[in-house]
Amino acid sequence: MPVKDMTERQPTPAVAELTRLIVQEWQHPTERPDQPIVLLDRSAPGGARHVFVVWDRWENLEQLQRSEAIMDAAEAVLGKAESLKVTVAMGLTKEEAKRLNIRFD
Amino acid sequence: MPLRPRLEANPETVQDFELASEQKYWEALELMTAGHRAGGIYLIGYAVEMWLKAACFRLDGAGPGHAVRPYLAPARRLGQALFPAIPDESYHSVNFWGELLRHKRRVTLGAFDHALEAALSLRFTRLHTIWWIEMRYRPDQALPAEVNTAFEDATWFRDSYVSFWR
Repeated sequence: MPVKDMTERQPTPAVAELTRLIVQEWQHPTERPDQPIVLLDRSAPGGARHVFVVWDRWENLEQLQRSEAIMDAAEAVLGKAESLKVTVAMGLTKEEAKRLNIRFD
Repeated sequence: MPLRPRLEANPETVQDFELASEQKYWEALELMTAGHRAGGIYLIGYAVEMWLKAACFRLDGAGPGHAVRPYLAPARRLGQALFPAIPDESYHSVNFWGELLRHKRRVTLGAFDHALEAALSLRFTRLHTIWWIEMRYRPDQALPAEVNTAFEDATWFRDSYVSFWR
């Protein structure tokens, strides 16, 4: 049996697919209602960034997994150095965003 | 409704961490004084973990009502980039959060004064030799001196919490 180095734990294919779709929408925004809505808040102190992704496909995904998927997308779009300025990565369904009074329309 | 769905109905906030850490601290003391060494250490370590995390998020600009979870993944990424040799231990390492707190303090409000920074490093490093999340799977082998150290360190974190982020 071959001996191999263990690789870092990877997101599940389903989560990786969500990340891919966020990256796609972030880089090439569309008006399609089923696509993720990426909201960037650059007004945080110290040059930090907050990223909110409003998307009903988050349903049934735990908040931490949503956050990891958003960070993967941020790294792909912004690059490593810029993505490290993100201090909040929050995934919300439309209903959750409304409850938190986060405007996305 | 059972406890779990009651608790999970609302995401944990910074304020929840602050209140829960206070509760866990006193509950840990009850266990320690009743002779339940490992249980006391286990609980008090959680309190310290929460104070460290909450202080980091306060420095990120979080208010009492902000949900905690959206801050976790960005914090882990930053820590992994800054000090890759320190594992985050599934987000629970007090070494990891202590180092991250030092960094976040430096880039937001300026570095801690030397005495506070030295004490912070000493305390989280020492506590890390006593407490880690996986200890829950082990029977009690804690020594009285380790209980004392964990309690003293946790008390220091409790007393210093606000000065971490103000």
